[in-house]
Amino acid sequence: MTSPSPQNSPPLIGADQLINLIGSARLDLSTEGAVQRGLARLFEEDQVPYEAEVILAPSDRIDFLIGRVGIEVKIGHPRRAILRQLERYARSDRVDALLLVSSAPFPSAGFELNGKTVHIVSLSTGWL
Amino acid sequence: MSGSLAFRDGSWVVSDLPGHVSLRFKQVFSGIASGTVPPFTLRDTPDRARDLEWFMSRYLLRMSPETEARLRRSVADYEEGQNRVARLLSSDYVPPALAGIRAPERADPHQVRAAALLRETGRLLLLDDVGLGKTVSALAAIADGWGLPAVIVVQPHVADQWIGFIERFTELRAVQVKKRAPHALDPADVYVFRYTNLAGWVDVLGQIAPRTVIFDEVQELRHGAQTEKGRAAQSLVNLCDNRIGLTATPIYNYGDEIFTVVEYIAPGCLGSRDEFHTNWCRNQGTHWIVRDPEALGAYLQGEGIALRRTEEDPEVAQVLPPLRRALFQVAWDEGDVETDRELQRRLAQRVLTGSFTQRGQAARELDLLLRQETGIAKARAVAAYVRNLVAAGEQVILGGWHRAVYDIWREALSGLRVVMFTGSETQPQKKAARQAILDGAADVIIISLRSGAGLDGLQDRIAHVVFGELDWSPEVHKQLVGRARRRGQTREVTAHYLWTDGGSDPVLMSMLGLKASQAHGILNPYAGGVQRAPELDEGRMRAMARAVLETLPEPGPAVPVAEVPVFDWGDP
Repeated sequence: MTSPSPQNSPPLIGADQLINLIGSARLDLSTEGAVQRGLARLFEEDQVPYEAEVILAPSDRIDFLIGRVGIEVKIGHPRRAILRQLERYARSDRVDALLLVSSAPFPSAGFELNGKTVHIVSLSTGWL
Repeated sequence: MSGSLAFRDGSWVVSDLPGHVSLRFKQVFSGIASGTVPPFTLRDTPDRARDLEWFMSRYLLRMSPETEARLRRSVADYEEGQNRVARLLSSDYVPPALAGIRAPERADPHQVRAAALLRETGRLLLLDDVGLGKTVSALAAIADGWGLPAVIVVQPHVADQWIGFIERFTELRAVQVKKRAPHALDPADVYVFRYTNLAGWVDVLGQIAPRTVIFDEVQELRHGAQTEKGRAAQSLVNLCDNRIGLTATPIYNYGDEIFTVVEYIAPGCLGSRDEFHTNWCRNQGTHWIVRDPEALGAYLQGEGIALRRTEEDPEVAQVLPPLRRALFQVAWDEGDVETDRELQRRLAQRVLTGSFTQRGQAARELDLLLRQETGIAKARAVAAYVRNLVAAGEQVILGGWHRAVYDIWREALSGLRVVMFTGSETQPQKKAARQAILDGAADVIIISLRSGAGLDGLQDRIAHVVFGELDWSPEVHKQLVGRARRRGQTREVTAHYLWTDGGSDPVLMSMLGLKASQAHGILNPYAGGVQRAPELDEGRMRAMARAVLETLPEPGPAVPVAEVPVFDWGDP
């Protein structure tokens, strides 16, 4: 029997920690791509193991997957379209929770889709 | 030989250029209007000789021995000046100990560096960010007797504050000149004039024989000789060897304004006004707008004319305590809100469909209405939050916008000692409010978000700034935080942003984030704090108008009660 070496089992990071990490970062908000690049850099700096551009279903590719938390960045899309997309992601059995990372105003409380919690992370708060 | 060069009456005159050289010359010296032919006249500026020498390494120009000597001397002077500035600005430069600062006060390293730069070059546009102690930087230059007597020109409402600073930080004798009509002045080291009374004194300024002039809030001079104070300032500048202008207000955008201001501090550095327009500006309506403010800022700093530091500067970070932020969501309380929903709806519709003027007016009214409503809806929660801070033994700066909101705060804070510093208070009332905080006789000072500029002293007592209402502009928030987080503050300052999920806050928040991130992108080690010329921002108001229409129940019977109050603010 072997126990996993520490290098092979990165510390698990939960949704709450991710919300704090992202919510306190000051990212370039000019485009969605800029935010995605910023987030990738943020995760690398904090040594958060992540997968990017993860295919959850043939037509669904989520921006980041960290453990079982899916992260989607949205800048400048109609709210309804965002909700439809998140709803599809929530069906995937690879995710337990979703983080919607956006500079657009959403109610901060979050909500549920398909029995999974969608947390809202405002990119604006970091800049206050 | 490709032409000839001569120096006449403070200008370089280039003539006899063959066509292809003339073409190239105009490309290099873009201050020369296209469509003109030699001889070209270029006003002498410190870097001009260096540029001409460089051009001549490709196209040799004929010149007399006198002109050549002049050119060599100018180039040598310029390079020596550049080296001195580079040395002063380099990170391994150790600022000297400057004498004359009255113990226990001191000048911090970044302030000494600014003072040393002024003493080295005799001219400085000091653009340090809010709260970095530009006043002390200027005083540090003259505290040991260098450059005296000095004249300081200030806005009337900070004249007392300047006298206070001079007495606190230096041993210099200072006289405040309050009247416009000249009268006998006591001999002094420093004379504090106001922009409003300087013109009355122009004929007798020569008797003071000032050697140094300090223009506080130098953007006052941006209209130059069109104004009486501008003409008076010019007379004053002509008497002085050393000039320093202080401002944190980014003034890079409007070409004529920055040109005018630079002319007071470092005359001729940007060439003639026409050359400046051609080199740096584009025409927009009646204004000359600087094409690339960042580049202009970098040029001014590179030449050692301007100096701007922000809190990100390592030397500054050593002396300014860190900032903490607290973001706290408070509930939306309908209780005090008495807004006319029907009026909101009509305004919102007009913003989206009205004529140009109707849209503008409706947008402003709607903005006002929604922001006031938002402020009111969270007022009691904000007051409760402030009460907690006071209970913990803290004095608090509370920032807001609307009278109606202040009224609720004051009512909800009854039992606490609250003083006001807003647009409605007179100068003596404001002074009393500030004093009450300093004496520990008040717990809370309510400051209007746009009234606090220049207010100093609160940092001795207060380390908590609460935003009970938000502003569209991140700069306004920074300005208020700067009341507490400035030189002299010994504690960590916390900025508390209280926001709610309703009304105008969500849109304001997303706007603030975008603006702040863009402003940050423009900042570079040289040209900090650049703001673009103000634009008409209809987009944000449309977003807000749409939100109003979508969140208000439709008139008529069918009102979905159970609908989740999720606002679609559209795309900011």
